[in-house]
Amino acid sequence: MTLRLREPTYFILAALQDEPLHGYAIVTRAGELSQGRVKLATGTLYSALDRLAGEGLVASVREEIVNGRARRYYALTPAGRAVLQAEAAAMAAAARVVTHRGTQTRPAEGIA
Amino acid sequence: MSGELEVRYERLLRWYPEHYRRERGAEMLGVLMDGAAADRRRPALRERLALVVGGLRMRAGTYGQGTAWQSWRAALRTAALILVVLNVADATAGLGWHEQGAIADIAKIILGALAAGAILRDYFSVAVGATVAMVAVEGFIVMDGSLIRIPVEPGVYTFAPGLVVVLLLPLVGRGPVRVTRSLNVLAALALIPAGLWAISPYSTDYANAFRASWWYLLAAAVLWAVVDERLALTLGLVLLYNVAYQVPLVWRALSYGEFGIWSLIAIAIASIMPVIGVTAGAVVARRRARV
Repeated sequence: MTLRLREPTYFILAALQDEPLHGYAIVTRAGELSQGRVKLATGTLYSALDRLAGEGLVASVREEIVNGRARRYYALTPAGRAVLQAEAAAMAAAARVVTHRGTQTRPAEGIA
Repeated sequence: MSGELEVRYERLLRWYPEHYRRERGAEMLGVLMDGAAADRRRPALRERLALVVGGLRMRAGTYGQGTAWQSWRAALRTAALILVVLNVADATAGLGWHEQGAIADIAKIILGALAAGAILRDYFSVAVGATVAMVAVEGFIVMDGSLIRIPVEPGVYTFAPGLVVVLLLPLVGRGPVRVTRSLNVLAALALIPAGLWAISPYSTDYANAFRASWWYLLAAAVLWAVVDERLALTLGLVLLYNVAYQVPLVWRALSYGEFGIWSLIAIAIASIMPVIGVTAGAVVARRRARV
């Protein structure tokens, strides 16, 4: 797959790597994983989840009733896991362009 | 005060269509309430905005939308349809004005109706054929035997069919285009300037209102791009007509050896509105195409 993910979507998928989560747990986990950068509003979360489900990257796996309200759990599909890993690999490769340079070349001359 | 907050969130969820609320409303309300601080009485601004925009997108048919090319296809089809309708309206208003006779105008009206019907049914090759014939008829009307007769004011949609052909060609042979009812309804607003023009084409007041109405429509479409970028794209493509209209003016300036800085400035000014519309629509379409 060659899908490129936006940052909130990336962290939604990342939040689901270990186990299926319900909506609020995804918001919390994505916030933790992104060190507070991604603060998902509920409308944004469901827009993303519907889009990801439409692309076959996540699926609703079970439902329970808590305080009289439906609580759905979402899980990564194999395609979702593949897209997430491909995105992570692409970002790691992009990061190496900078981090390896620091160890392999002499310090830049000029400013300061 | 969670009861009060819950009522407010329920009210905000009404922005979503009823079928979606039935499916997801309770679940979303649960997430909203779980995420709210115990002493919160009013919904957070970012939650409010996300719910309103999400609901409007769902109603506009752009929720969970696919590729940028799908947005472009819908905009190309809608813009072509608008220009054909404008051209037919212009030909109808012009009956009796053209010295070369009403026959050409009547032919244009019939061909325009055929093109519009073909676009609505996604028969784009038929629509291209009809608009190419309209271009030929326009040639008959516009050429007075010696020089091109320039319409008195921009907004006389004489040169629209040529642009319609350009807009339709990318759609030929690629199947039907998905267009939502909301886009059709909103795009019909683009006929307001044509209505103003038809009322009195040679009145300064109406001419000024005509120009201003395009700016208002474009500004509204650019704002609406947050919900549905296809309208901004559509209006930007329709307003390419302003640039197409410069072609015969440049031709005339070249033939008189008068082409210069003022011609370039005129083209640049004519490009402002289409560039704003197309750029705004294209940027949002590209961004939304990413998952």
